[in-house]
Amino acid sequence: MEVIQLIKNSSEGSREAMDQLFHQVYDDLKQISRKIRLNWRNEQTLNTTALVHEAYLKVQKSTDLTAENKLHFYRICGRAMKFILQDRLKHKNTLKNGNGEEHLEIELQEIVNLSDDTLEMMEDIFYNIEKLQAHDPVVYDIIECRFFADLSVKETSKLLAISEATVKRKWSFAKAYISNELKKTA
Amino acid sequence: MHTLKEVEFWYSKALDIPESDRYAFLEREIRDNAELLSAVFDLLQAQANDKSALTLLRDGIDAELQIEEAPVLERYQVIEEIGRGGMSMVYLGERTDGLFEHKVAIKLLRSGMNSTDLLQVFERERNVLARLKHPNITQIYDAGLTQKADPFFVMEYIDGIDLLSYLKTKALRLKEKLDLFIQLGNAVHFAHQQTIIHRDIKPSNILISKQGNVKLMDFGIAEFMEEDPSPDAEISKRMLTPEYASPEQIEGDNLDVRSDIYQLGMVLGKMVQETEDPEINAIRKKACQTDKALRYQSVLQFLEDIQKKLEKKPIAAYSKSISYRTRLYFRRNALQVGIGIAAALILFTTSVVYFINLNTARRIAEEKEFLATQSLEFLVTLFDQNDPSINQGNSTDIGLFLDAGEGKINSLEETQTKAAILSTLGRVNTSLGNFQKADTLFIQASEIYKSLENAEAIGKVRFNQGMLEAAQNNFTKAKKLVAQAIPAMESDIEKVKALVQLAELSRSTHLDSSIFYKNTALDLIKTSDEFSEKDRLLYTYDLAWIGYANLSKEKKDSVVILKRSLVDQLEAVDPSDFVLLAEKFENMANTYENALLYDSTIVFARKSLQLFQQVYDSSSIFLTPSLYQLAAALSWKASFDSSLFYLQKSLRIKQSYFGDLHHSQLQERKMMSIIYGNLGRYVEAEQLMRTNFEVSREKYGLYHKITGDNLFVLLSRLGSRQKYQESIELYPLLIKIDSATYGESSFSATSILNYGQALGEVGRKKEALSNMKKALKIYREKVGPDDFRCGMALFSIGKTLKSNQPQKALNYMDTAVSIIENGMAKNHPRVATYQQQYADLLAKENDYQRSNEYYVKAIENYEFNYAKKFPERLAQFEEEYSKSLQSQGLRDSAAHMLNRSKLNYKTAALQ
Repeated sequence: MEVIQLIKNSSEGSREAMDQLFHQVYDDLKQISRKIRLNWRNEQTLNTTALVHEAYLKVQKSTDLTAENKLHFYRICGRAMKFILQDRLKHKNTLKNGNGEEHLEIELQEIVNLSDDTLEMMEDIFYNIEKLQAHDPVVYDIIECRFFADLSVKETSKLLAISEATVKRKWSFAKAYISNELKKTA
Repeated sequence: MHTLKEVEFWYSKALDIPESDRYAFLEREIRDNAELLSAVFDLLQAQANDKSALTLLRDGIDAELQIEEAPVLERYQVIEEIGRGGMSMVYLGERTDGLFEHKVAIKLLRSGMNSTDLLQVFERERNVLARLKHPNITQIYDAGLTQKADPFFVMEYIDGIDLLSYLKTKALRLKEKLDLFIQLGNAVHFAHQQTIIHRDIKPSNILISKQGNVKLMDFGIAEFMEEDPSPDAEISKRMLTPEYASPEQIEGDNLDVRSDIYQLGMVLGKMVQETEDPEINAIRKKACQTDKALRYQSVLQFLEDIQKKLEKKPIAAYSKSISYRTRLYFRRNALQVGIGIAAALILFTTSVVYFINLNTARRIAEEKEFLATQSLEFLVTLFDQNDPSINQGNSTDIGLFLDAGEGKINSLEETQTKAAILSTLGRVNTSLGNFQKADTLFIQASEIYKSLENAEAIGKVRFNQGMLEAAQNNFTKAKKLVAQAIPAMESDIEKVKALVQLAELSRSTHLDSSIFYKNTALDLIKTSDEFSEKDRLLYTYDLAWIGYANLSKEKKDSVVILKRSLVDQLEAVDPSDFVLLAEKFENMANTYENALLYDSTIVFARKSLQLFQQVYDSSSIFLTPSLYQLAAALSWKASFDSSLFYLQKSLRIKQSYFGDLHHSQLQERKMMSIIYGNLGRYVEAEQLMRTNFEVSREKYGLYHKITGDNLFVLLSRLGSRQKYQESIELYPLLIKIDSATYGESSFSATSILNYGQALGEVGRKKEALSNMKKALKIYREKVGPDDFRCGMALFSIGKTLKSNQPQKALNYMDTAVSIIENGMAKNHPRVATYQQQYADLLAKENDYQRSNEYYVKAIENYEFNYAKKFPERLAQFEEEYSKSLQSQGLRDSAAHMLNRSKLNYKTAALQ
């Protein structure tokens, strides 16, 4: 199915479209990152915001997405970004434990070439994000939008259909909570 | 005890309270739960810190996600990755020492993969490739170690796609597929002759270049037959591709050429998947027998069977269809088909000759020669008909047929036919801008004619060589060649064609001889009986232009009128020759543009476009000259949006034919830049010209008119952005280019004048004045003292003198403005800018009466040009003028002017 159709269907709630779209975006992000990293002609910068934005540009070229569709797509990009980072973490741990499949993951390791310090911090943060998700799924949704998809408060409020004040409050809480938890373990 | 929900609840509550009262508030509300209280306190503290952990993580990730370092190689620069395998990476690269310009593919053993085994595999491929020089095998150029001591080798870069993707996009007929397969077979056969077995033949290792040639690559696990079984057999086995592996490969047996034959059979199967052709299926099955003794025993045998299959088609069938098609072509007269089909037809014609010769039916071939040459000639006119500058470059189809045509021609015998085709291909290559190739082709053709002692034909080739030189702006050489060609010409039409060219070539440098050629040609047209009415009109039209630039205003007008009447007659004589008429309309539009008659320019550009659109489709390259002409006229009329629309359309068409940065697009970018400049979009304007300067320098070299012209406009753009320092550094270069290309002329004078202006801007007045005066002197000599350019030079001098010698400055400006008013088209928007500047200065010097006079003139002009399209500009000007009136105490007039200004601002706001 066309990406556009996937975006439309999934933002209308089709689970199947959502899954397909997610997988496609997941691959796209990896590919885009690779492309930026290995093309020395462009002077593009490589960072998470740029990646998500590039992924968006790729679909935006050919379409007439509504504002809602667009936000939805950004959110999927954010989610895919989170999974890439998470998979990179898994990889770190499989290496640590010395069990196989390293070949398949070499590419991910190259694409997400993060230092051990950053990976460790990420691991702690992801752990706490999971705790927050168990505590309140809305807080998790907000993290997904604000942190991984880089959406603004206004956009998040629109996408999740909650008030801006709630977004602000819960986002502030999430940040404070995670910071505090990390301080405790430091 | 407390829950996270409670923490969140109180945290949120506290956030709503002013910071100074938060802690007091919480202590009051939940003092009985100390743990909860401290948990909420902790969060509030964490929140107050500078950066949250999430932000820190994001910063960390973004700082570490970095562009990978490019491998550093001696002599080569790596541009981007184009592929990667288990052990190696392939990059696109360029040679940096300038020895040759080709793009190359660089295969690099991945860092950390340099175990002895892998090194051996890598080295082997290098050695294999070094032994295999074949057009259908990627060639190796060079090898070495990177700075990090990883081995690499440099290969030919193939701009193409793999076999399966190619087949998916192309919808080839069976014959075409088999032609590709034969190329592949030839490559493998050649390797076998060099005692090398590929062992990994599969679609992803087969590339098809843009020219449609097969390139076999990846000899990573190839094997030398004469050696003992390779030590790397284990590794090779691990690397093979199961889908295409031969049974003996899977078994791990020793391999010979028949393993490659099996793989070729598998590839053939993939290529012709849907075929129900029993013969092909039989061939495929035979190649893929499990028992290798039952397969073809050599690639040659395999290919022979395919060839037989191909040749079963009777030659008669070809010749029948071609004469049918050619007839169809001539009958239609209008060319309803694009270059692609034309290309295919040329290819087709050459093939016929080739096949006939192969079958040694010489006699028939000679009989067909007439037809072949005729149709080729006809097709070449397709390219000749238009401005060669737009035909330059290679679309896939053109490249394809040229290469194929040349390939076939080499197998022809040294006959008239071969020479005629060589010469024709030379002309096609000329119009495509492949100058080197054209040159070689003409020389070959000429050699054959010399051996046949055919003087007339030698003359024709010489004429074509002259056109080739002209296309490269080598006018002296061109003239010499064309002049040499004339005596051998037997037909008067040919002679007139040559004379037209000679007159055209001498036009800008040797006016007298130009006019002599013109008159000789006109006499011949009158006296010879070879000319039809249409020919007469046509050549008279072509000659009418000669000498135009040096005529007086009245005579110029009469030339325009003459041309117009000739075009009208042409239309009456043969209204169905759409292409010819469309071209002449376009030329007429150009004539009107030169005569500053922009409304007529627009009318004729549109007429031409309309006719072209009836013949070609709306995105055809043939439309671009008319689009450009239309855009030019619209921009003169300050219809900038429409002009940009047509320029962008033309640019897009050219890009789709020739790629993004082709030199045929220079004129569109240049005009767009000028328009952006007019619209105040200086950044875009500058960027376009930087691109143009680069592209032209790359294509034509620094000391070339075109490069100079583009640098000239770039410099004006820099001026608009007040980048005077950079301008001052570049102008001497431009002046050097001008003097090398134009000599002392009005063009070089303008560069010198602009240099003077830039110097004036940075306060180097003495140098500024000396340059301006130099320019003025040249203008006076070259275009006469009444030309508006003299006015521009005088105006600049006046402006430079303004602060120190205001009275003298006014004198200069007064002369300047009156020359400009008389010399430029009435209502040209630039006239007003001079009038306005002059009026400003007059006001400053308290000469209000004359100042007002010029303000009014300028306003009239602005109103004419801007009232509809740029009311804001008009409003601004009116506002300023109103202030000037106010300061003169003319309150009523000032108020009136202010009102007008307000109205225009309102219109602008509504837009």
